[in-house]
Amino acid sequence: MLRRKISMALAVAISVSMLGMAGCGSGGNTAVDTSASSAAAGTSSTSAPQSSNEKVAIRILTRLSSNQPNAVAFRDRVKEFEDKNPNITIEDQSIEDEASFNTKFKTAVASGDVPELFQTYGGAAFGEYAKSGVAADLSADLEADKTWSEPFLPVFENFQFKDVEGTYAVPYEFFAVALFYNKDLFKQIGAEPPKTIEEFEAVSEKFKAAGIVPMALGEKDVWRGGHLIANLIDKKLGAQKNMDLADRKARYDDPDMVEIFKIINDWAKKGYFGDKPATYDNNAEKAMFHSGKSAMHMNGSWYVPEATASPIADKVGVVPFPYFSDKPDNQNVWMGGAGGAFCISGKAEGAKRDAALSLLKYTTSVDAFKYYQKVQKGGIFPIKMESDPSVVDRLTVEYSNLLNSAEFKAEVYSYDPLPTMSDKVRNEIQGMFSGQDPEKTAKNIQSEIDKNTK
Amino acid sequence: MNKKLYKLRSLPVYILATVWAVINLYPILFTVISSFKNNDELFSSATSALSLPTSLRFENYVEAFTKGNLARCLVNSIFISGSSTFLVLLLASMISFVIARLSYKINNILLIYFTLGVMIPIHTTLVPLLKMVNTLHGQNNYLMIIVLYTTFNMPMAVLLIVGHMKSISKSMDESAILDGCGPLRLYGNIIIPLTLPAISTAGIITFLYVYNDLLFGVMFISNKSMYTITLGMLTFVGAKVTEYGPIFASIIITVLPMVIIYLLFQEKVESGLAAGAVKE
Repeated sequence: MLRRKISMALAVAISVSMLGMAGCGSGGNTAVDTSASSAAAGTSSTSAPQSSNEKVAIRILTRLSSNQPNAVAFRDRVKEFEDKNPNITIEDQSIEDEASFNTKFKTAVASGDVPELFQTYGGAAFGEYAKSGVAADLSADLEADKTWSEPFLPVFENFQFKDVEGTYAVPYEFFAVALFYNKDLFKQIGAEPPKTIEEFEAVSEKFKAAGIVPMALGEKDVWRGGHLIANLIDKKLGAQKNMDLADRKARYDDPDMVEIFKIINDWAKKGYFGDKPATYDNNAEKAMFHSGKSAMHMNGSWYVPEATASPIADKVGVVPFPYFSDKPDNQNVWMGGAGGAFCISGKAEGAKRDAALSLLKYTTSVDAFKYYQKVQKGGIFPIKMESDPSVVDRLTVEYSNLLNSAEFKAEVYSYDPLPTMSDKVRNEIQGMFSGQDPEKTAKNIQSEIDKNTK
Repeated sequence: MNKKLYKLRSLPVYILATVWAVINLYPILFTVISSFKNNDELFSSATSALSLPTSLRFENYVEAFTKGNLARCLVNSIFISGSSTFLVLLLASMISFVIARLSYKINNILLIYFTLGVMIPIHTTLVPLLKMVNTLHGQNNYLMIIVLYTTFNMPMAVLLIVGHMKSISKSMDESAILDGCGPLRLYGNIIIPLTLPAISTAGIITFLYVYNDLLFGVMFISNKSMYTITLGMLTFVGAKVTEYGPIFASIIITVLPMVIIYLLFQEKVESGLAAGAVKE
């Protein structure tokens, strides 16, 4: 009897808790699944498909959730989009912390339910998602809306793959490496900033004579030498060389590559990078530039805000990395590319896809980037645009103006199918700064490939 | 003489205890000091981790409340942790009562079932969980997240409470029943008060777990007004810049309630941890 009563009581308790669980269903957001025929994918870059007033709910997962100006600006734009399209509800699942983002995104992929719009950095891992249909091919959409797609800089390489046709993401972040210089120091030696490598060598000699380091390089951080060789390969051997090295059509110990190692070695020996560059890091290098001890500074677009906040802010100018006068064709090849990008879920269909695409256009249009630049008071974006000097700093304006006719390639080894090449190339170059001869450096790097292909 | 010798002998113990206390206090002190610094001061090579801030930056605390919306997060965290803890204790104590006090054949299987729950790493369950939650449209839903936390904290609580309940003499039940005590009164008025040390331990463990958890928050909450403390602190983590000052300030603010709760229940926790360890 007692047992029966107790089991009854427990059964009731369990039923109540089960009911509670079932109740969750009605408490959540009420996503209306619409599969209406898709409207002609947004012809304007700012409005959503107006085919129907059906309610559509989409989810977005980005790394723009912090209080940093870039994230705030993006969220403003999303809010504005929602206000303009009352039939679209956006659930922003974004999380900026890298580990948390990865957990959330990978779990979503594994469960087969990826948010309609999500963020990626492209590359080989993303290629797998492109192949398996996690991300949708956007090439037709880009083709169909030229006002949206044309202003983009040619930085889609990270989102296009050999074994699967199409473009799978649209960039919203960007980087490129240029040459910053101290205007006062150039006046002091009576020279113009170098356009070509020959001019670079000439001004470097003048700076040396004046007791100023031409271009300090904090080679204790191995990526500094990596960026230098990437620029030299782009300017001397052209963009294709990056691919040839990755495809094994060219070798690191080919004479033309050895010549590049020799240039770096030569400059180091002549003291263009200062005394013992391998003993100080990038921070020290920047400190030298900011204190007027070094005249030039090779760095990426990410350095612009730092330069603007530095003690020599109004003296800093920027030019493209010099090109070889006998290779004018490679003048516009830059080390650079896309950073973060947005893609649309391969499973999004009908009204959901249209809504996600409209949001994608709304957050990556020229107007959007102008707004981001205004809120961030600067910033370089993957798009050709006139920066408004009244809202952004001078250096940002100067920098963006350089990019209009550029072609971008990432660091040479980032294309390599062998993941250890990045470390290998960078470390061997550091070895060269410590006395290793250029031929040996080239051979050592090539041996890494040979060893792994045998 | 004896007393003196005793004191002398315990000297090393005191020294060790002091060293241990200093080691344990270091992170707390570091957090307090850092909560008044900005990033430049934190990373400056000119100062050490424990050097005092140049000025007391109370703006870190202000930012924690304004930008991080800490007050709301604190309420959410306490609500979610409190509700989950209440549910865990209610359900676990009832299940434990069945397992420990009644002689059903299924009891052993039930106990093994809950023991298995302790062994399953939470990360392995994420994918099916996400599917379930999405199917039920359970993102951003207090009830859903409370049910999830309750479920995942049940096994530990059941194990603790069963262990303690089993140590209470069976003759207690028999005499109660002879005196005309019904099953609900037996559960509520006799067994529960006797199991209180284990129940409060399970309660504190559950509360702390839920209060500190980030994973379920990241997975199932995206609405800012529902953010828990851990999610709120993440708003200071940017892809390129992390504002550590406000994070440390948030830590200080959110740790305080836990310290107070622990100090209040300290005795119960410590006696509860050993609960059921020895059969009397």
